[in-house]
Amino acid sequence: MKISEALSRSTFVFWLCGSILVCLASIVLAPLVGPTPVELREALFNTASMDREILIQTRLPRVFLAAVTGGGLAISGVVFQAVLRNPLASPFTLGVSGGSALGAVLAILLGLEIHFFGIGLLPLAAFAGAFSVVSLVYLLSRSAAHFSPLTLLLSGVVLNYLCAALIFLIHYYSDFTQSFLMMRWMMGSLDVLSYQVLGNLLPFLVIGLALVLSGGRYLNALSAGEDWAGSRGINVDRLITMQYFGASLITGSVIAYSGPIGFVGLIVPHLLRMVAGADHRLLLPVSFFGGATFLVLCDAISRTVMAPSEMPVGIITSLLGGPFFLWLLLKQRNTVRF
Amino acid sequence: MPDPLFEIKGLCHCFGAHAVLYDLDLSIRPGEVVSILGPNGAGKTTLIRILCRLQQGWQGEILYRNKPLREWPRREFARQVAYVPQQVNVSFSFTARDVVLMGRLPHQKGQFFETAEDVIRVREKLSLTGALSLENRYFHDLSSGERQLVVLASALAQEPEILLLDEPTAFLDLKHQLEVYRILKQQHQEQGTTLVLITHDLNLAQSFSSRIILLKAGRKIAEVGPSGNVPRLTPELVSEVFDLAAHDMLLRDRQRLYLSFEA
Repeated sequence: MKISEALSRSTFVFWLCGSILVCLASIVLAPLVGPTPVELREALFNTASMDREILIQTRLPRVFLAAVTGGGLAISGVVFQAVLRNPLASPFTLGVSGGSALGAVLAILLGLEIHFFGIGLLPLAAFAGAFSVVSLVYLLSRSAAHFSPLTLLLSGVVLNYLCAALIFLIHYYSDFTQSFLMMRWMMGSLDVLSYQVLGNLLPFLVIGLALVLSGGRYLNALSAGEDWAGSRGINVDRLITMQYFGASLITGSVIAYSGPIGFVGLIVPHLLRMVAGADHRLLLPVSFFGGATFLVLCDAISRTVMAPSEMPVGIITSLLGGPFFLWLLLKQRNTVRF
Repeated sequence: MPDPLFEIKGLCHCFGAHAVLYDLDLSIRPGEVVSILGPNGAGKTTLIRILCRLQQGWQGEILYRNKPLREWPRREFARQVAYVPQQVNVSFSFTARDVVLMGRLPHQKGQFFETAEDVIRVREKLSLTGALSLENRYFHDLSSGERQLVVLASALAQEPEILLLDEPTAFLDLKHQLEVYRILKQQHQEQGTTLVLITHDLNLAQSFSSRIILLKAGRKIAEVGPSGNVPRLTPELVSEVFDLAAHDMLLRDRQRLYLSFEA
């Protein structure tokens, strides 16, 4: 049995700095990998070279997008698991994926051309879809003056199915090109491309992360139940609301561009909880950098495994995540809980 | 007589059309040990949860230290009043020490890390409940009895004036039951902590508490004890509250009431 200490400054600094360093290393190395080899020397010192063009304009924004997407999904996973007190919850358990997919599919059906303040209609619709479903789930799970995680979970699952049915319906009435685009979006991928996208994401991410990170200490107490947290002076309703909307804001905005990329919010928090401990003060930031690293690496695989064509990164994370999930379930049968 | 800690007047609480508590008056004075006795569904747990501010939507007036309950800042209130439920389940791998540390939350002024004082208090309360040897073990690996000792340590780490306990020994074996009550008694005698507890144990209620509140169907039937309106438990009273036949009870030494299985 592992003897774990209460969170000390040195443990915290060790894990936080460690995860940031690993994440930076992956961001530096990953752009060098791809169907076309890139000469680093050429790219850095020859401003007119093709290498530089590929590295700076194509690969780097993509790697950054992979990093914030992976990080966002992982940290949201930690939040949803803590709020629902269920280690098998993920950002997609609560209808975020269903809602965003419905929004995206509608946008594809109606035509993609419109832009709104420099943001394309597709990500905007996906974000709106995700947020409407998330808000609906939230309202459903609020009774008179109390907040029930179980109802939250159930209404999330039900709304996910409802969205899936509507997506099939829209699919049925769309032509082949639209249908292909819809399928492609739902597989999840990072082949968007510009720094503009990162700029659009930033404000949502910053607000979401600030909301989520401010509550880390209180999420620990929530692990022992709402009454437990409440009798320790925590405003539980406000805590859950802030965490829920913070995490939804993060998830909704990143998957608006990437599409639903599965299992990141499940695998990364689990692995890190096993090695770094369950304390949310540490787990939240470390999951962000861990998730970023994980998706950057998966994206590097997706660019190379079938080169010169590309495998959607959502397929890779799911192929890795599915078996991992099953292994967790088997493991959970033998031990108590984690 | 000192000012009461809790002063409850005309407390009502309804779930839909069903009144769980009805027109309840009660005051709890510092240094008292109050047992709440009554059949399942009498409103005992609801009463305790309302006093701990875990249950909203009640009507009536509740003062804590002469100040309306709802006006107390949450953290300040949690430094005064601590709650021990029947059973606590902790998701994720938190150690016993982590769980006790959660009791320090109301004393922390927003700092990110625990202070040296917090760590000292945690060890102190763990050794007080005899659970110091468990401090590095995962809470979910502990037995029900061990868990409850850790939960008690966590409540004590809040350093409260008053402890509200909802059948704290419902799931414990005899040894752990005794241990919990010894700790509570010691806390009451040495720190003067006021105790309010729900129990189904007649023996315990009579020997441990200075006052017994009898609840039935949301109403207070009687207050038993030197300061109450009835001096001691009588077979008539208990059979009225619990719908028992009089021959189910035995009066020993003209003092204590016991349940009889002989009839």
